[in-house]
Amino acid sequence: MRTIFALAAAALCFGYSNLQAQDKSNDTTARYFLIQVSIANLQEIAQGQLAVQQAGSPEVKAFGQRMIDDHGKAEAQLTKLAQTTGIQLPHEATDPPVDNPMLKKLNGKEFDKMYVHMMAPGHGETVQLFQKYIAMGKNPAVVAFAQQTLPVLKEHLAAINAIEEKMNK
Amino acid sequence: MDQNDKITRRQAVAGLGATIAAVTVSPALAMGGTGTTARGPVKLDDPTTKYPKPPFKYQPQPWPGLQSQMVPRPDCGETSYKGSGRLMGRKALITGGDSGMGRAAAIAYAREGADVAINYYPTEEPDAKEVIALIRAEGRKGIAIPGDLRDEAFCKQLVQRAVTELGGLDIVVSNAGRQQAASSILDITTEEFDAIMKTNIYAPFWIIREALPHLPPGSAIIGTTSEQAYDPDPWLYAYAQTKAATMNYVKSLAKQLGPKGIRVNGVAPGPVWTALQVSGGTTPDKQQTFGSWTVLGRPGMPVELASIYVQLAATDASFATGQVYGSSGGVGQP
Repeated sequence: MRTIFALAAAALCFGYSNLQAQDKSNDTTARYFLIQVSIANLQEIAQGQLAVQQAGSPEVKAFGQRMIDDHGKAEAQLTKLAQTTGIQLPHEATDPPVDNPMLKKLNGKEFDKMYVHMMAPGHGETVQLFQKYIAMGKNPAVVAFAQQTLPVLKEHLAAINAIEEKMNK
Repeated sequence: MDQNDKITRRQAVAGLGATIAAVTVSPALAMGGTGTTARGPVKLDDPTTKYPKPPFKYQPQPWPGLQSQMVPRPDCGETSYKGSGRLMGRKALITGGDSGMGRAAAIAYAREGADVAINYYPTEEPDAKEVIALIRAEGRKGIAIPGDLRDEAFCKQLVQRAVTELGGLDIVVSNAGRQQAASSILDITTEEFDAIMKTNIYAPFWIIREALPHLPPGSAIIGTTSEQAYDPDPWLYAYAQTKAATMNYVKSLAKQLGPKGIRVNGVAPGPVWTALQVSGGTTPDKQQTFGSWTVLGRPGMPVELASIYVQLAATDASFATGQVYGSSGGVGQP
């Protein structure tokens, strides 16, 4: 454990590309899957927080809160999973992001439109990402995590599609 | 004497040791000789590890964005591009020359011996200053012409100033582009759509039309298109159609100007790490995982396309016209 941390610390001094070269993980697909999921989780949480503050309709606010709750839980599980499987995630994937300036400047109905229009395809892609890893992934713990999380994502997708349909009427 | 001064400065900037071989061979090149520079064998590098891979930090900037503030900074060949006189004495105008591929082309052109005028949006001055300094470090003319390409009058002035200050014009690189992502067409305002059309379609039209009377036979026009022209992403509805328009005008203009001896070609990048991507050009998730979908597992750096812009401008590529050369890390077309 100490050697790994020492290596990581040394690698950070030499910049990100060197960190790549020193990555000892054997299953780069699992690592990259977790990187993508972590990024998605943290963006959902940040955008959900904006929704809670700035959305017009109560449904969009509620959806935003759900994103904070569900993706917060998923991110906590992911962090634990990365530790137990020894997969190191770079800080670019685990640092909470700043607010999306396109969303931040909107309020009420305008916010709802842009947010909902972003959420639908975004969740569709995330579902596909998970399905692909479940089908092709080689790390059983990460596959299990993906299988456990997928139903929640599908519910999100159904919920946002319903909101969008209602909005576009 | 003057030639030796230029060589010494170039070597200093590129960090090369001053070797007697390089100094004595370069005058031969200038006289049109067939000497090769004594550089030693080329170092093979692995394209998959050559430049940073995602994830990148989410780092939104207000449009148009400065590459000097990006992490990591795009590599435009500042310390790596080495020329060999391929564009000696040529006179080039490059739009969007402050950052990204325009910057890589400007640096490469200067290192190949050309005088270069760059256009950019006024708030991009900090990036542009660096490019002008790099051009002048090669002993070439570096002309800065900031302004808004959405304005027809400015586009005309841009060309006139370039012609006057360069003392002529024989390369036009229409590269500046406005890229804004939108998940839904419902979220695109007329104002934004108009800004994208004016920058990406009208400006090239105005600039090429104004430049044409000044371009002698043997001149080259280069337009930056994109793999988006052939297989667009759903969130780039507005931008992608302008890249298709660019790809198309390259071909029609090539046919029109062929008899006049003016070649028109296009460059189609895949995902390249530039200020476009951090100023609204893509979605937040995709900015963080940018380029992960290429076969090299990373986005391109602008310097990796510099030699394409040189190739299409160079007189020894005289049979290429109406072509679109791609560089996309293995995704999309051409």
